[in-house]
Amino acid sequence: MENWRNLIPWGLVAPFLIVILIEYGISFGMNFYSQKLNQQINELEAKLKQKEETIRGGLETNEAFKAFSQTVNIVEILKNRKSLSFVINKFNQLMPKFLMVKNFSYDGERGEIKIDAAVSNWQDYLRFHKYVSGLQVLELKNFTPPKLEENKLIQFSMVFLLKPNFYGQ
Amino acid sequence: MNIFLRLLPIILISIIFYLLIYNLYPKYRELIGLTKKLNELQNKEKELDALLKLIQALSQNSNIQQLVANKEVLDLWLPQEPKMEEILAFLVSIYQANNLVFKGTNLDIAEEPKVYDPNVLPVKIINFSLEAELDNSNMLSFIEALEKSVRLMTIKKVKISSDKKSQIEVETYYLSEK
Repeated sequence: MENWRNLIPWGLVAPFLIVILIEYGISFGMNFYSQKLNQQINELEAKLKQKEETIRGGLETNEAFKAFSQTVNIVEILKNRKSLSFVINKFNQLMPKFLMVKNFSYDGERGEIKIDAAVSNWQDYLRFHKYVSGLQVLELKNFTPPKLEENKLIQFSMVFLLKPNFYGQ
Repeated sequence: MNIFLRLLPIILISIIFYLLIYNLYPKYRELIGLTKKLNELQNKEKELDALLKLIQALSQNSNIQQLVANKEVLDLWLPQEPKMEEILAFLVSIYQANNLVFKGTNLDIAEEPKVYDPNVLPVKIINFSLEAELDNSNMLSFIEALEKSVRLMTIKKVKISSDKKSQIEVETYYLSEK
């Protein structure tokens, strides 16, 4: 046994053993800190839950906060609302007189207008297509090929995207 | 024995790395995660404290007191309850004013409240769609009547047809308690 102990090169092994011991020490410290953090988190969570319930209970009955919420929401709704009558009037102003609109669809969320329309001849159609392609306030997103129908009108559909400056005066 | 002694440094280095990779590193990650969670909770606590102060300040603010005094007006624009019967009464009146027949509508309350501002109570949305035989004489007046309603209403979609009934999708609001 004595012989075996003498055989181990302690000078070489000792630094490794010290590193292992330090690692164990750090691991122990981390365990301790982790437990402490967990305890703090649990306590804080319980405290926050209680606070939230108190605030919620208070808010639901607080008339001043309700009135304030109503005012803020009214302002936000009005700010976000796009007036359809304004859109229709502006669109009418932009469209030429020779255009006959059969169906008009408006999607406020997408900011899109779709029309099913007709013109009386091919010159008017080409003129109209060129005109709407060059508009600054509308973007021609999509259109169906024009067709000469039995009533001798050229019918087509177009989808326009309303650019932000459309809503300007 | 000789071989063991020669392998001893390798065995010890392996133990060191094993401890480092499988013991210390996961614990370090766990600690980072816990610290982050604690910081988040502490920030939330600060926000709640700020909210508490805001509520106290609101109750004492003279402008807010004035708003509370004008509560009836606010309730007309954005009521604190759905008040479906008022919506129906309003719709009947604008149909009649435009010589149209109101055949009813489904008032559908969206489940999720809409948050315009995270610092105040959200609003609940009531969706409904209308059908009407609109023509050039009554189209704009009907739409303007909807838009100028004292109770806030927003026209989301519309399909105006020259030969069929026009369809209008509208949303209106009320203050959500939660």
